[in-house]
Amino acid sequence: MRWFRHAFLAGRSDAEGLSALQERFANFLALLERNNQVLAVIADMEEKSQGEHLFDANYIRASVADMRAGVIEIIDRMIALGGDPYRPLRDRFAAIDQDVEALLEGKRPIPADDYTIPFDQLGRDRAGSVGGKNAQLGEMKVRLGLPVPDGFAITAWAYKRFIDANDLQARITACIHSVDVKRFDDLQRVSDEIRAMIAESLVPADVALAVQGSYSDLVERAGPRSVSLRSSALGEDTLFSFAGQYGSFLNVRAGDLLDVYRAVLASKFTPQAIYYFLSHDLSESELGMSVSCVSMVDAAASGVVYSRDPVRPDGDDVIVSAIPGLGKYLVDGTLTPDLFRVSRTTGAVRQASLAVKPVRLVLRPDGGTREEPVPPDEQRRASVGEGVLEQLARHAVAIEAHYRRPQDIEWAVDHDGRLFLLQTRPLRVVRARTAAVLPDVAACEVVTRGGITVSPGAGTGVVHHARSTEDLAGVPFGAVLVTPTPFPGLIAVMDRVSALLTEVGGVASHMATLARECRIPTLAGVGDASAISAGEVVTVDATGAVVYKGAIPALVEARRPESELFEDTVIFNLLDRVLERVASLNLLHPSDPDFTAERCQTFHDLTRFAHQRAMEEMFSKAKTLEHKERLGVKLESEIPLDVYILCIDRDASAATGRRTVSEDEIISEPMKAFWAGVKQEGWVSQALPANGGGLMSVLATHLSSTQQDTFSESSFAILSREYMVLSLRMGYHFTTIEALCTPESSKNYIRVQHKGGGASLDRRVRRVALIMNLLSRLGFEHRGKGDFLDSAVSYLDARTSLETLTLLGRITMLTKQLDMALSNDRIAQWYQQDFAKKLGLASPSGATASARTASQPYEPSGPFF
Amino acid sequence: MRQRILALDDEIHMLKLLERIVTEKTPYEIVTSHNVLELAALLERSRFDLIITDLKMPGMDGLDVLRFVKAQGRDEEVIIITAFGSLDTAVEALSHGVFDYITKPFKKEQIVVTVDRAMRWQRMKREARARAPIFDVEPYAAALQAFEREYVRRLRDRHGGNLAAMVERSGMPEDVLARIGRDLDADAT
Repeated sequence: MRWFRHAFLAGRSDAEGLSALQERFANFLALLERNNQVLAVIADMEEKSQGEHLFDANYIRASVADMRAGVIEIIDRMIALGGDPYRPLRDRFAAIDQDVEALLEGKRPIPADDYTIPFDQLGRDRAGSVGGKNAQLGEMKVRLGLPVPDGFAITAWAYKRFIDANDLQARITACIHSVDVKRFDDLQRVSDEIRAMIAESLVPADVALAVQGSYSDLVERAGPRSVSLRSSALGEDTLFSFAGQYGSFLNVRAGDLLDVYRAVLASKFTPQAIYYFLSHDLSESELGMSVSCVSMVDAAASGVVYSRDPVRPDGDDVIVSAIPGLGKYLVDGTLTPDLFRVSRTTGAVRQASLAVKPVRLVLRPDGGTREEPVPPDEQRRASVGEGVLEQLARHAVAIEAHYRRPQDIEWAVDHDGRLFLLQTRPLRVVRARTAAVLPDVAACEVVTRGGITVSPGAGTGVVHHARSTEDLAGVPFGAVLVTPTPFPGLIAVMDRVSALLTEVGGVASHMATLARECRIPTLAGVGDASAISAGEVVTVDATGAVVYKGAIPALVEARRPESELFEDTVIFNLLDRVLERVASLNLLHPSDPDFTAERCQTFHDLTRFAHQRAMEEMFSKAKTLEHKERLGVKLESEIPLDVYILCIDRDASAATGRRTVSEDEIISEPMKAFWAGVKQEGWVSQALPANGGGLMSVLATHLSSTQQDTFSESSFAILSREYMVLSLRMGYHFTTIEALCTPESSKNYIRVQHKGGGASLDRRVRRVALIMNLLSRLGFEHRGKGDFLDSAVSYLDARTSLETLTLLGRITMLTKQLDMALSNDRIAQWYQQDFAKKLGLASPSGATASARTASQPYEPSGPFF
Repeated sequence: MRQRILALDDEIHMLKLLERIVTEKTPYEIVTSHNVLELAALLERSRFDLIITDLKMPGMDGLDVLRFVKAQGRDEEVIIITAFGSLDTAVEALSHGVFDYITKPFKKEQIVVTVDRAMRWQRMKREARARAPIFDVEPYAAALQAFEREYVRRLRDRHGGNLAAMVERSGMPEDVLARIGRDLDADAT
């Protein structure tokens, strides 16, 4: 316990070196902690995005704020740990953060554009300038060649010009802030005031000229006619999209154009809208307003067509509602419409339910509209004929195909029988679920129960075990994959498995994010998962944290996330878009050339990058600390290795004259575990097994007994209670083992590096291959080349970490200087099997445990950690 | 008649989600408003079984809504939706007669179950109220007669007016059942 207090510090610079290392270690631990917190926030947001929860914009804002704070600290810690090379992370953060902020505010700067744009120059891509309604009309007219009335859009840019020219912004803002929010009638007062303000303002000459010019062009193309003016709201897909009935004016004459234009703009300031501006602390100026100016259709009949039956969307019908006269009386509910079911495939009318239509709305010759009675003999007659219905069905199917989702389309037929489409928007349909209720599973045999739901849902398949990336090649399609840890190589099979079970781990690993992204039902922390027999068919209920024997398709169906219930809502879309910017993982493999600060595109990338590099920096800083012999205290042990120990726990400052420390005084858990393994095997001066038999003669020739005893060069260990970097120098071999072993498995990792040896290259490579094979059985993943080994395993729980370290201690002793003996592959194979047996490391996938040989150079197989 | 919900929240997007979930996952009808200042007008126009309100809204908060409903002696139960940070206020609301509170974000099932519970409570209250007057009738003979009529009304509802089945279930003489049935019909017209 007190051994570190006796460490003697030889000089000031040495002490500074140690103190700097302690500082780095503190940063390192803080970074890991923050990393966990950020991943937990991501996990929570991803859970909310699955459609099982209700949340509001504040939830998204608060989550992003938490994540921001975490990522900022991670970057600060990273720079403290690794220095200037990590400064670019700040720029990347700023850029990502700006995008996320813009998403949250729903800010869409009003783009500079022409004041007016004719429909035949519009398409979906210009919605930012002209609003959704105008853009869709352009899209239908130009891209689909459908009958849309001629017309033009008055852009949001024109609105901005109008507001600026009349200096309205400050006045409107002041007016809105004068509201007494406790009184509804005060909202009405302010609404009236603002509307009056707008009505009194002049349309600037340049805008007026553009509007009148576009109108003249319209008349030139289509003859003298009146138009309808409707608002075409911007930012419908942002948080700004609030309910509000904007003005719509029919049968507007040329002389009234500008007055009506102002009236449409004024309609933005309803009492409802003003309340919304107030309660959301938004500046209404950020919400541009575009107006749609459409050649008026003198409608004999009007209505709406749904491209699908909203409650039976898989049927063959389009649903047409129709009334005589203008469509307003349908939309506002004045009239009950005729209803027609028309076949999508043949256009034939399958069913007609005719209503009584006593009145209709028609155009007045002098502008505006009026109601008139429908002659008694026409009241029960169908509003439209079969020809129009057939055309409507055809158009509806075409529009749906274009937008790839069901549509709700307004239409009108003029007195010459010509059909026009006036608007289209997505139609919400309800898909009946075949098994919304959970099936009774009481009778089903439970294989195991418990664990943490990483990704909800249920999946059925054949159990397949994999300990590391190397075992993944044989994973069959639709398997239930069982692994000890959520190791990163699992990315490779995410598209193949129907469920994932891991013995350790939680919701906050980089892999957990991918499981949720891929919607793979995943349970972590299933302690006895390895006991489930391979080849058995099971059903994993990740939501309920139970694994059942056999296939239960009804459970899989019932657990299917019901994302479609909320799928087209603004708030879910916003969360999805925010997630794309914060939670997606683009940096996958540390050995990719793209694994750089500059390539970080999301908060998760930044976190992932910093997490990886922090471990590497800690490792290299610890390894390269100078004057370790002078700083450290020597370990007293029967093992003939000179190991100098340094402590980097923050309170390790006192030093007395003591120069050695006994094994019992080590407080570092990883070191204790590792050293226990070292001592279990003990120091054998002969690397050959006594039962080597015929191999003896072969091996003996390659052994140099002198090399067995030259261990004079010192090794060192940098330790804290939960951390260890142990650099062992044994003859010509350098082995470094780093481990972090905490109660939170998501922080834990063990990394082994190995290099060198006195034998020829092929023997050294065989030795490395042998060690690698043994490590694979412990769940390690590898990178490195030739005789350089670099292997790591992450997310082990504390107990498993310590057990693994003990085995590593044993492997280190068993394989020290073995390369001398490995003259051919057969011998290497023999040793490998012998050691695996000794260590109790069976190959879980049942594959032959063959050592890779020098002729099979290994490639990086998966990212670390 | 379908039971009705009024949902109040200044966050339109939250209302949209509530509307979806109620429409598609419950048998109830829902009306929403993002402007709580409309409350008085909305309640004047119609009666609801349940009001779901956000806690924090400008002008009038969830507690004000609760007080308003109680002060008017109205029947609506109130459920308050609150952010986790305002939990204390929500718990305080319990002492002021709020039916329940839910913290955001919440699972779909949570709101469905809570709404169901509130609606069941409303139906029970209504039933108890309808039954209460029988106990105040005097003298006893008249009370007995009132009970008999209520009993037969329910019996008839259960058996769709099938007299033979009613006789078998109740053990009452057929002519008595028929007579009370005629009285009930006369009342109805």
